[in-house]
Order: sequence, then structure tokens, then C-alpha cells
Amino acid sequence: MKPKANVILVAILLVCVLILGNTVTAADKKKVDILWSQYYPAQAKAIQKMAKEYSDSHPNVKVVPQILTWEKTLEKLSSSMAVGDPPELAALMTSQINTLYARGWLNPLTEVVDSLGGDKYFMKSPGYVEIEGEHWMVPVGTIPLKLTYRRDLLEEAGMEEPRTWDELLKAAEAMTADTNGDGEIDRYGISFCCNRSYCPATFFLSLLWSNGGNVLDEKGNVVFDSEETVETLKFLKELVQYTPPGAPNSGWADAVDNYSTGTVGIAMYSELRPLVVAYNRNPEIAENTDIMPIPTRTPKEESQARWTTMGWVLLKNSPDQEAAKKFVEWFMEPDRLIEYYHSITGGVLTAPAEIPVLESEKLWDHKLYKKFRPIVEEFSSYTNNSVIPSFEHPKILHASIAVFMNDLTITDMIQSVLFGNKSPSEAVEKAAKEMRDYLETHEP
Amino acid sequence: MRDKIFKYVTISPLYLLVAFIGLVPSVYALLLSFTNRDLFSKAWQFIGVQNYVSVLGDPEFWFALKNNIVYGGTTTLLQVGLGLIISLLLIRPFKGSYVARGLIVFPYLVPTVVAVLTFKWIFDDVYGLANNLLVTLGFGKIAWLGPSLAMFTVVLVSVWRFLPFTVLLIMPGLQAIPNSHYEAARLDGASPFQQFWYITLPQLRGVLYIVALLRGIWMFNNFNVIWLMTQGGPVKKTMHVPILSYTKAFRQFEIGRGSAIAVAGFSFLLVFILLYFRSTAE
Repeated sequence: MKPKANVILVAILLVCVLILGNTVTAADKKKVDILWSQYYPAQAKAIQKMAKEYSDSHPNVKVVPQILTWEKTLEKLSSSMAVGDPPELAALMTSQINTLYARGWLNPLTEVVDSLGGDKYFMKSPGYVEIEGEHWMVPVGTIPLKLTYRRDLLEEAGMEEPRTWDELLKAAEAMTADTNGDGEIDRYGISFCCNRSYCPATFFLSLLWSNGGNVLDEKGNVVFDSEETVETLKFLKELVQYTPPGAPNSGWADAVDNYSTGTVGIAMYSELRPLVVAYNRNPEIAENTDIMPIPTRTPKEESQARWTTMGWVLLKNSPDQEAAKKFVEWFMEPDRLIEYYHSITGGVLTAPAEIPVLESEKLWDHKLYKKFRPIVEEFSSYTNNSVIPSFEHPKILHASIAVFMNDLTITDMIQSVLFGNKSPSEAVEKAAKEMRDYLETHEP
Repeated sequence: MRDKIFKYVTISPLYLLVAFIGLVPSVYALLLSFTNRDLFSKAWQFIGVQNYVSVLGDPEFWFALKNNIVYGGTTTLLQVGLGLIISLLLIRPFKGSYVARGLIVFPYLVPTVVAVLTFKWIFDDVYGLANNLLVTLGFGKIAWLGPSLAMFTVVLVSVWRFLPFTVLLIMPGLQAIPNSHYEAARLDGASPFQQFWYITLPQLRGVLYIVALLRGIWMFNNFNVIWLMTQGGPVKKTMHVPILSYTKAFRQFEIGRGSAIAVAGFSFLLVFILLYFRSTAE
């Protein structure tokens, strides 16, 4: 054989070995696809950084996050499921998780919750959501609905923190004022979302629960057409007169803007964003900020807020489930979670509800967490009085409440009373009928 | 014969591409409308015309269709009317006419999301430029996106956004009218209005017809302006067929029912499409 031919043969062999070697490595390598529904750019950066860190420290696993706005996540997931190619993990909101659970698209994450310590790890035991002995999500923090308010304005009006609907109405009325004497009202009592989105339903349901009402009973029957629902709508109609103009289109962002610019004295919001934005724009507003739970109709009822948070879920039929579980365990380690909490737009947006995280001094070793520690702790504590719409009757597993929020049945009812000409009882009756019609044609 | 075969072979990729892009999604949507397909589930059944019976019996669909006609009709009429006026103004040479012609295209170049969100801020009731201007001028604030004015405001924004397209189509039509017609009319003592009525309008009739049909079809299907501004609210005052269809398909995940709404809406649009085809054939 000629020397030139030998060289060519060796080169071919070398290439074959390299190709085969790479093929074997690729086959061994696990890929964990993540669908991450983001709120803020900083969140996206945080998850990308963590995915890279995990992939670098675990050579056999590649974590690939795909960042979407949270409104688009469910659409994307449903499409990927319809074609049989779901990602391993998704970080979603509770109402979205419920929709997936109800349709049988989740595998449990009980192993992960157990390995973390279950009720010793999570504030609201056991691990927030347990259905028939299984955990279907691993929550990251907690975002119970609450009201952010100006302490100084309440003090000016000689009032205490409102605990009942009447007190809230009085506080909102007292805060609504013409502060510069030009004859025009320039400060309003309260800002809460009323636009055509799921958002108004979150406040409405929290008020309804705090009035002893509900959407479904324990057997899954619609009990929405009740006196409690009508009373709640009437209260909302009274409250809306103390909101700034433009209420029919006001959303989450308007509550933050209105609060942080001093346009309103009270804002309905899930996260601590009104506080953080006020801190950046108008520090004196932030200095005078406090939070309170959703008021009840009478002092007898217990405050119940709609609870929501981001949570990890494991999608059925995705290929690398074990690798995905390991990643969630890694992500949920206290120090890593603290890094995540600190990274979200400068911190103090989502309240931690993981006990080791709350107990760690590392969490409070941060400018904003240190400054607003009492508020963050109070915010976290609301978790225990919060309701997850979809899982409130764990034995029934109704996705329907979340469905009625997402498909705007509840919002359209609210809008028709607040800005249309429907009476509360008419509107409630119509919504309850739509709910019954839906349940008749859809299996829970 | 070989030439003929060669001709068909070379042209077939284009037909396949057009069929794939245009026909496949439409036929698929049509098929879906006869099923109870849920976005999350692979299991589905043919349920015949059940979706159509339920859609056509739903007052919400007719309400949405009425909104659709109001929105599509007013935006089309305004675009064509204003487009004609602006084109007549721009066709005459004046100092800076080229700059003006360039600027008129500007709204069409701005991405819809940017344009609509900017207008949303302009019409914001509390912080908006429009209300601040009104207050400065001594008037009261207006709820631009409230239940009474929401449709008016989305029509206004849509007209601003799509008007350049009509100008771009009408201008060449105007330029194509021989100047000798006007010279002759002037010699006969025709007034500017008579010149417009007896020369410009008849000569432009074909162009205006096509522009109105195209704009009508597009505005009937326009989704993003309304969605970005009001999501069909408040109190469903701006909810039209595309938004109703989207809500069913992607909020309630009933893609079968959502498709039936879209197809039912499309059948009304079909009248316009047939008119368009007939006019282009002529």
C-alpha cells in the first residue's frame, strides 16, 4: 500500500471514530426542555443563567429554557402537546397548572417535594398542592392577592387599616380628593383592574370567598348564583366610583402606575411591585407603604385571597423526566432560590414561602429585603389564608373555576354591572347559567 | 407537447406552494369546525354541524358580527374617503410635496404593536396626551376607551394605521388620468367640483372599487388593533368575530368551536371576496 493511501485510510478511520464517539455522547446526553413563562426580563435572565450553570456542572444534561410571556405559554404548551412533543418542564401560574392537571397532562412531582422536605420546606403544607397523595407542582414563592396602601393617607383621615368592606369604602372615599385645589379630583381611593382580562376575576373571587361565597360547592355544582355573589358585585360597583378615570380598561400595570405616582391611595396587586416601583419613583410613597389582606364583608368572615404563584410542573410524555426532576431539586435549593429572588428586578417582588429560605439570613442580606423585611414577612404569611381557585376542593379537582376566570365569564359579568346596564342579580344569574352550560358539556 | 409538459412541471412548484400556504390551513380550519377538537387533546370526534348550530344560535356571535360590520364598514369607508381626499391634495405639485408624500406612508411603516400601544397611552384616561390636551384647552376629560367611545377610538386608530395603503393605491390611479381631460374640461368652463365629479371619480371608479374591497376584507379580519387596545372590551363593546373566535379557541381551548365561529364569519366575508374576484376578472 502506498504511504499516501495509508494516510487517507487512517484519516477516514479517525473521522469514523470521532463521529461514532459524538453519536454515543449525544445519545447519552439528556435534554431538559423548559417552558418558562416570564413576567420580567430579569426573570428570563435569571433562568437562562441557572440553566447554563446546571448544564455546565452536569455534562450529561443540557437544560434548554424557552422564555415566553405568560399569556402565550398555555397556547404554546397546548400546541406542543397536540403534536406529541411537550417539554419536560414548565414554570406556570397556578391557574394554568390546574388547566393542565384537569386534562391529565401532568406527572406528579411528589418525589421532588419529598426530597425537599415537604411540609418542613414549604410554608403552606404540604407543598401547597396535594391531590390524592400526589404533588402536582413545586411552587416557587408565593403571590397572594392583597392590597397595598398609603399609611400616611389613612392616618391623615384618622382611620385604621380597613378590615371590612365598609371600612375599605370609607378609606377609599377619604383618599379621593382634590389635592391642589383646582376643582378637579386628582387623587383617587383605589385602583384595581377592571379590563377585559382574567385579572378582575381574581379580585372579585377573593372578595367573594371573603364573603363566604363560592363558585362551586364541594360536589362541583355551581353555587355562584347566591346572595353572596350579588352582594360582592354590589360592593364592587360602589368601590369603582373611587377609582381613577379609565377603569374599564385598567389592568395590573395601571394599579402599579397609579399607586407609584400617588394617583391612588390603595392598589390591588398580587406581588409587591407597587412598593418596589414606588421606591424607585417616589421613595416617600414607599416609606409610607403598608399591605393588608383582602377585607371581608363583616368582621365575622375570614379573609381569603386568591393565591397564585409560579410553579414547576412535569409534563406527561416528555422524554427525560428523571433528569427534569433532578433539575427542579437543584433549582429549589435555598441558596439558589435566594439568588433567584434577589435577581427579579432588584428583589422583593415575589415573597418566599420556603421556610429554609425565609430563615436564611442570606435572603435578608439584600438592600430591599432588609429595608422592607416586615412587609415581606407579612406578605409571605398571607399564603396561609390564600385559596388556589383550581384546587380549592382537592377531592373534586375542578379546573372549572380557573376556566371561568380565563374564558372571561366572570370578568364579562363584572364589566356588565360596573360599566354596563345589567343589575347585579341579572348578571350573576347569566354567569351562573353559562357556568352550568359549560359544566354540562365538559367533563371535569 | 414536450414544451407543454415542461411548462406545467416548472409552474407546478408555485401551485403547490400556493396550495400549501393558502389552502391547507383553510381546509384544516374547515375540517376542525366539524369536530369537537380540544387544543390539549389528540382525541376528537366528527360532530357534524353541531358547532354551527350552536354558534348560529348564540346571540354573542350575532353581536360580534354586528360589531364586525360596524368596525369593518366604518374603517373601510373612512380609509377610502380620506385616502381619496389626501391623494387629491398630494397629487398637485407644491413645495415639499415629495416630503409630504413620503410622510404619509409613515403610519404604515410603524409596527402595529408599537403604533397601537402608543395610541393606548395617548388615549389613556389619566395620563394620556389627548385628555391632557383637552384639559389644557379648557375642556373636560373624555373616557376614550370607555364603553361609549371604545369602538370610535379603535376605528380612529385603525384608520390612522391603514390609511397610507389607500393613498398608495389611489395616487397612481389619479396620476394615470390624462391631463388633457382636465384641460378640455377647463376650456369648457367646468368648475373644480365638476372636474372631480365628471372626470376624476368615473376614471377612479375601478381603483376605488378594488381598494374598498381589499380594505373591507382586511378590516373585517383585523384582529391585532382591537386586541391590543381593548381585548374586545369594555362590556364586549369592541368584541368582533375574530376576537370571539380567538377566545373560544385559545382561552377555552375549544378549537373546533373557535374554527366554526371563524368559518361562519368567513362565509359573510365570502360575498366580498366573490365580488373582488368578479371585478378582477372583469
